[in-house]
Amino acid sequence: MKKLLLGMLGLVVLVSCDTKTEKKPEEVTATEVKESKVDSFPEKKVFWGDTHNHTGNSFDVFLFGTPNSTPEIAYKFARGEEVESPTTGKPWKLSKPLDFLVVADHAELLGSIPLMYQDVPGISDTKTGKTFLDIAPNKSEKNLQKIYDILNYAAFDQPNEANLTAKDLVNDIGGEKVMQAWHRYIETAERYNDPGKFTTLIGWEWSSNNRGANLHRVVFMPQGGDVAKQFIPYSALDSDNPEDLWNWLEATSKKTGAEFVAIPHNPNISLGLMFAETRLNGQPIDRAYAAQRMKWERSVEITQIKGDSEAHPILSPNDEFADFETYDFALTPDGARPKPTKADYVRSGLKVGLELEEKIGLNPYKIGFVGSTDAHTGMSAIEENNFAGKGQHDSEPSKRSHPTGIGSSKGWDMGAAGWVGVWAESNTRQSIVDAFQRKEVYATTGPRITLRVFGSFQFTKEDLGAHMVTNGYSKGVPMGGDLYKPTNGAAPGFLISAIKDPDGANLDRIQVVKGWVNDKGVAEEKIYDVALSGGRTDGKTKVGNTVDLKTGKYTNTIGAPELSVFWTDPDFNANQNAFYYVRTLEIPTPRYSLLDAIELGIDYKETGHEPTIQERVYSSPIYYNSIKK
Amino acid sequence: MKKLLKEPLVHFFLIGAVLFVVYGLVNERSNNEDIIVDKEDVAHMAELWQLQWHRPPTAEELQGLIDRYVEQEVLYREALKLNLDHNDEIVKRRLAQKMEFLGNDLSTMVAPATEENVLAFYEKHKDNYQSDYVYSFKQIIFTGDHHQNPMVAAKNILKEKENLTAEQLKEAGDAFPLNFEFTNVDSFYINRELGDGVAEQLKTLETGRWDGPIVSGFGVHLVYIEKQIKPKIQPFEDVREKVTADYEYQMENDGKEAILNELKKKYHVIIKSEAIASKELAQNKTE
Repeated sequence: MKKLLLGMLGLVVLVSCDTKTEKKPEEVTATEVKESKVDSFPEKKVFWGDTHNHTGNSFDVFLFGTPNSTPEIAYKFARGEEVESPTTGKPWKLSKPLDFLVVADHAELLGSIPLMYQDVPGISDTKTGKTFLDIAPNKSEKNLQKIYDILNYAAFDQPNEANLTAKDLVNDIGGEKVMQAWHRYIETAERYNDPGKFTTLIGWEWSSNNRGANLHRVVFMPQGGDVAKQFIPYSALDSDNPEDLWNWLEATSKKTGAEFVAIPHNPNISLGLMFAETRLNGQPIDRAYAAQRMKWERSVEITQIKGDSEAHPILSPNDEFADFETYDFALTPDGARPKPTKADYVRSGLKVGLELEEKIGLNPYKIGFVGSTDAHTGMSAIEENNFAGKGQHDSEPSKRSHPTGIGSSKGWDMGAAGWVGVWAESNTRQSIVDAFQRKEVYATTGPRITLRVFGSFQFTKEDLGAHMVTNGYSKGVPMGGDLYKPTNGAAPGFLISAIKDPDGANLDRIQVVKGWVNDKGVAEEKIYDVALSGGRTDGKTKVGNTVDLKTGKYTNTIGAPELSVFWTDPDFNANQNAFYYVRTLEIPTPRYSLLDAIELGIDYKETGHEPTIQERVYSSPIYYNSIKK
Repeated sequence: MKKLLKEPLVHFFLIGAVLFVVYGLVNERSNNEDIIVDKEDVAHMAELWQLQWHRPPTAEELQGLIDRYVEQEVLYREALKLNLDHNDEIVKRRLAQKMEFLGNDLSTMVAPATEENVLAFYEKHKDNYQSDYVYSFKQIIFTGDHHQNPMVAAKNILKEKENLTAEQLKEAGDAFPLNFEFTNVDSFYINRELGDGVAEQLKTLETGRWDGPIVSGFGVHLVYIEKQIKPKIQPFEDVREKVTADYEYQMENDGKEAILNELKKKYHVIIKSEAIASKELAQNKTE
């Protein structure tokens, strides 16, 4: 009897599948108000999150061989639950939960590649679908990489093996056809949003790769599914020009009431385009461009797995800490590693902005800083001792000596970074997005260092201490704020406090990075060591290094658990526009590649990377404006 | 017997048997060479089209859909006759995936998240729905920045506590940007702010007096616990959503695993590779 019953299984499958395709999407209880009490912090609290996480709805995640990655797993993982890793199948868990997450899948062909392999009519039987299934009938790693490469050409109308055009992609597997996946994603985001405990923000990624230049923007919003379902996310297949994206955001915002935040990432592989002096069409940047850009893009993702974009040692030769997780593998198929230009790094980009302001009267690059992962695993796992990799190809230590398929990079070229700290009154969608709009946000390369920065012409040394936060808000502006020409000619003062990650390493130092534009209209930069641990008075004295290269352990016997300082700019000129941002460094700790080498029993030198790093946080800048308010 | 009836696997087979009969009744065509496209089939195609395109297909498009359906059916049946489905990686994966879906579907059929089931689940796993410890406390901190040995410094102050006023005790710690008082904070919050394991250490302290020292991510602390609220099991109404989610997750996993284990019993797995450690081979022995 048992045998007979087992034999019937196959038939059950047939029946069950028929019913499956007919299943209507569930009704959403989207805007249903959650009853849980939401804690509120009038003097704000730092909430940690990742605004840039990819799941299997992203064509590249799927094509890199991680079809099991879902938004559900991404949310579960981020809120601290143990999940089965979509890349390796092994259990994986964050050391402590995040407070919010934006699943930002590529809008281009959102969810279409999975549907194509599920043989969904209208997708798999189109010209594009058929061509792809022809070229890659099975999902072998090689085949999927092939599709990925073709897509990267076809999407931007470059010649490709399949002879497909961007228009083919839109008509066949893009455009309206992503609606199903978009709606399913929205419903999941709504289900996992838990105000006060864990916030999910609805968003996506606009992935323009204009001639191989990474011009991607992550876009998200505080509104819920009822608003998000009124549009289909704007993709680079609609246009690869950011100005068109902003126009669309403007129009869609008017039409639906959505409030958008757009964040560009990886200027380091933008091939000179992220902070350029010209528009994409080659025309010089004008006031209108600057105003529009500043309306939608008030911050930049300064650090993430594909490298740190704060500064480059060639562009900032006097900054001994500039060479941090430098990553220059362009997304072009030729494996190029182009030389950095000042448009490719954030600090030099801010300087370009100051110079442009002199010329056109408005700064197009007056931006705050955000860190996020850009993980293509569905897991926001970027702690050095818990790194899940960029994607399938570098998901395990043993794979990391091999190429990743992303530019000419290898696994160990990826950096385990970053997250964003947000100063908000409560852990809710609106409160978090408001903080992004105020630029009261900062970037970390991993550790959850609490960083407070206030600027004012009214502060004294006494404002530091127990009442620093109250004084900071009442007499000054927090990170992301603006200062204007003082009446008394005094220099601006800053209250800065950094507290180590309670579960991490001690702090080495606090630095202020200043950029200003001189009388000739040329921007300059200088770094001040404003607080040093261990009683040092000269920043040239290194903090030391306790990392044991055999065990990968470090101790907190050097550095300080907290550093705070009142600092006044000794070189202030009231007639020069300037920015001030804070960089706080940890003592040296093991890079994940060292821990990998220990696990694999190889010499760390084989990873091609230094064994230890100094993790850091970057505050959003406070700007000094040489005009009266 | 009653227990047997509750076994998901038994349900699985019973449902399978019922479906088999039903399937046989409505799908007489499956045993001969006819390809019949009936009203329902066409309606189904049109519906799928509508779902995708948000409009009904035109007559021409519908004809195209039907033609394609017939073509596919012919090729599919011929392919089956030639056994082309055998040992095809894509077919294998797809079928394996279907079996997994089936497990999920069955678990929702066998054990749907009804009020009754969810409540029973809650009763059985009550311990998972306890609230955290909640504390109100004061703390002072001693860090390595200010003391050669912060532990000794803290212990010395604790010894002196009877001779110190409340104000003096408060000032005895180091200046540190951390609250002196924490009010009604739960273990999750305490560990988030002070470091992993701090809430566990608070459990060891007396309430109503200065006690310690305990160690946080920042240094050594003396703590005055004013109030400790012990965990209690939260009422079902307060955690209903979480229980439902947990229940569904658990049922899906259980179902999947039970079915796989049962099916595995039919096979004897032999792995002939020296690359695999013998430890991993041991899994077969449990079958």
